[in-house]
Amino acid sequence: MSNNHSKGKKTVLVSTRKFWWRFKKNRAAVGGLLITIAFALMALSASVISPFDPFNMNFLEVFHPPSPSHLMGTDRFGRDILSRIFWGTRISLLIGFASAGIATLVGVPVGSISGYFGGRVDEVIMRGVDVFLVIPTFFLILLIVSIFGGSVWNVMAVIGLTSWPSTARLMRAEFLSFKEQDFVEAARSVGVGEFRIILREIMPNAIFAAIVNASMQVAGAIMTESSLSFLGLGDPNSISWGFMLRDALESSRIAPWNAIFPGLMITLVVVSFNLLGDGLNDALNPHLKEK
Amino acid sequence: MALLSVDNLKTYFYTSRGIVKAVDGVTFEIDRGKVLGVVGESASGKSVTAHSIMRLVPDPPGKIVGGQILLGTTNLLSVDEAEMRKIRGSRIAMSFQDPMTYLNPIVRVGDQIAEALIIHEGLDKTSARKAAVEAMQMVQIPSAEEREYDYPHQLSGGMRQRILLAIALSCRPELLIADEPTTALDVIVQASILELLKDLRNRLSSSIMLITHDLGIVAELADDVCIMYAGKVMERASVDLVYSSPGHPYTRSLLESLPSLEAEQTKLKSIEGDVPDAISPPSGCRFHPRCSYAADSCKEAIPSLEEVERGHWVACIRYDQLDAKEA
Amino acid sequence: MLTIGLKKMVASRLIVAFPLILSTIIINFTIVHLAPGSPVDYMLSGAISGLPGGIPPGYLEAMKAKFGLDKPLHEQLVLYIVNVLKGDLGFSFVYNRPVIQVITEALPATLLLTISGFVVGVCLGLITGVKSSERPYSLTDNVVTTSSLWLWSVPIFWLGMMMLLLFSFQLNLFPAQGMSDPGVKGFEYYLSVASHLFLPVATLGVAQFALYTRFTRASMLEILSKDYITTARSKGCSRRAIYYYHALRNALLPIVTVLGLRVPHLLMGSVLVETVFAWPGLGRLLFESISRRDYPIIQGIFLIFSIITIVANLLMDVTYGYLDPRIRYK
Repeated sequence: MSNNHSKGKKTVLVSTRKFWWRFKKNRAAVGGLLITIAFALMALSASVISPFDPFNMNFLEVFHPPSPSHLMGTDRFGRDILSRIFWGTRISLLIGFASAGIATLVGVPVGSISGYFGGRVDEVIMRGVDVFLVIPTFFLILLIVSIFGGSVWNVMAVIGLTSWPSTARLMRAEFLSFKEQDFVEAARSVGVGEFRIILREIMPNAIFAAIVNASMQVAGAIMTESSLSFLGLGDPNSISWGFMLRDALESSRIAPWNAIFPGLMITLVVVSFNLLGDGLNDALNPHLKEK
Repeated sequence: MALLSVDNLKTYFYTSRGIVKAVDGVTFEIDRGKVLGVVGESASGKSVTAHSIMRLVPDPPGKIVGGQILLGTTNLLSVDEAEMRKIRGSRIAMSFQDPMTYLNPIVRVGDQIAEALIIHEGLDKTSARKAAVEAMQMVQIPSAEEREYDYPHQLSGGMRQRILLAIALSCRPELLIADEPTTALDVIVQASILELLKDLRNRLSSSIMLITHDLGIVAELADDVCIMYAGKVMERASVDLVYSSPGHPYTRSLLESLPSLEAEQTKLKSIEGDVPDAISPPSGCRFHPRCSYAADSCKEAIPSLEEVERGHWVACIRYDQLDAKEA
Repeated sequence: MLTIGLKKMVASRLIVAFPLILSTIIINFTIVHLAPGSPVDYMLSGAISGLPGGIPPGYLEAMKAKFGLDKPLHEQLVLYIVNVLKGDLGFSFVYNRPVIQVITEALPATLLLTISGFVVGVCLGLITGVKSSERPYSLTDNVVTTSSLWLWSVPIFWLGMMMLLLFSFQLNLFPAQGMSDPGVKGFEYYLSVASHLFLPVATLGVAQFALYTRFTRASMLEILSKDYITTARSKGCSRRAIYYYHALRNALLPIVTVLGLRVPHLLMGSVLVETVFAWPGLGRLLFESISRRDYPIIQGIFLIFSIITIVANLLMDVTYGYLDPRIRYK
């Protein structure tokens, strides 16, 4: 162990190869990963794979049911739903990843410091975090977005800045438990400095929990964004599945395909990120699953 | 005929790291009205034996793989679960080691005692409550009528242990299995529980199987002793015989490690080495790596329990050579 | 009934509740003042659509005086807090009435829907969770676990729309919108409400159940491995007694703790469901206020929901304290 410290290596408790092997065994998790990748590809290549221009209105083809030319039918402006689905992937994934990214970027340092140093710092930070737990964050987001506008940047920032507390809590718990462990004692006794311990000893291990959490947060952010769009907030110039569902609300009786497909997509994306997160979690903590 | 007869009992645990042979061929008897002390270090299998008799071994990962357990004429290993439930609590009952975790924290202690009475003796709630108070008085709990409405967290450790005993004794079982009744308590409380157990032994007609690692308690309470090590019985005899002329090297070491009030001692004598790995135990006699009398022959075959004199059973192939050759 | 232990707990929770409510009010204030434009714009928004003649003369001055808009910021904050605590949440030009009135009219419908949905979700979750824990990793358990994962990922408003499509439009079993049929009185009114209530509550309940079943299962499995379950078995208890009398009652305690944390999520679901089914509660009010830019209403709803969350958490804590004798008795 002391060799590691003097050579500047970090101590990682999870072996990467074993981790992948366990992950691969979990078929649901692999499925989740594949679907996630599929959606990412869909988003990136939306302009290429879309049969129609998603903004193109065609009043001759309003409310057409699914047909060979319009695989998912058309909406009330005659726009091709399949193309709009492809383009909608961009917004969902963009906001999902960005929000989770912001939450992680803010939450990980805050939680780590709070958990590692404890004492007054910890108390103050946790008080602030607790406020977020009690306040219904969705409505806070709603209020802010309605006042400041629903542009993509706003939505990203607001969702990210209201979800970092849960990441912080998680990291705090991880650091609290890790800092008592033997390998940290060993590092300290050899004279490794505090920040080095945080970054090279504990963080590489604690970060896994943050990654799992981030996956769940992407799912949550996508859900929040679609809920916001459904309620009418969000960027009216962009294409969002939630917006599509809002449009479909009035016409679902006569054109149910308007409503079915966008919601199906949201479900699929959210499920895949949840499965991915679950799978990562199981692969990292196999002893929790043992009977 | 003995009340309880355990014959070549084997209980294994199937884990991802291998098969743990927690109980590997254990044989003993308990006569009516007698107290058997089952002594051993941790991982000797004494607790698992008790759980096997009650068929409380968690399955998976545990399984009783062989042997026979006779309670009177009933073979406990062949009855179905419904039948076993009728036996548990009424014919055999068990009290446990840690009184805090073995009591339901949100049920009043009186109700926890009364439960067994309602199940087995068909009493209604009021009569069961009354009988519960009597049981509490029997285990010497003061102001039992008020205490019965308490919750476990409101009682002291010694009180809780008495409650556990009251639960076990409420239906006057033929056999009481007391699993380490004093271990989780501090010394002064231990003494009072010991007095209680002596009193119960004298008053009740139940037999008692007393599981402990404390040789002192065994000396005061038990009629017979069964010494276990690594899932096997090493020696079995009456208390007098075992304490006066211990047959097995392990027993001898145990007795020697007791601090003596009379003789001068500068160092406490302990047994060298560690308890063996339950998944891959030593070959032959399980104790041989730590035994000061061990010879090469000890590694080869597992010694069986032999009756070396009347009522005295020892599992050691070098038994008759022990006094002659002190290693 | 109210032991000292309980009273202490209620008191400590109440002490925590007030600063939380205060924080919410302050957040409300801060957001409006950080926003582009002046706070007056937000208070008066909706006036264009609401009042044909424009803003009445002298109104602006009255508003400025009331909220002290020319005074320093901290004084404004204090004024705002005092106003809110007095029950004055502003005026809605869209509805032409004080915000507090509009909200209190819509509140009962929301409470009816939300509480019903909550009860249905919890009951469903408890039942399936306990059943799952009886035979972990069996077929039933796997089906329940998988379906709860999927249900958790379905957007609740989409679930509602699908329910609408199937049960209302296709099968014609339930009405599609609103809370009751117009002009109906007496007993028929209650029947009408019930039939309108069914689909929204089903949607809310099914969406909630996903989380509760997982948690119940986990809680039960943890309790079942506890030592006092071994004691119960050693007494000869039946399977039913062990699961329901001993295990479930203990498993409920951590579940109650979690329930309190789920209230914000429940409220969000309720709002979305109301929008889908045009249920005349705060959710639909919110939906319409967003499109009409009626900010006082939006702020008021945020405040009310925060208060509901805090109060619900308080109730959950008290319930927990009542159920757990370790808190109730010293």
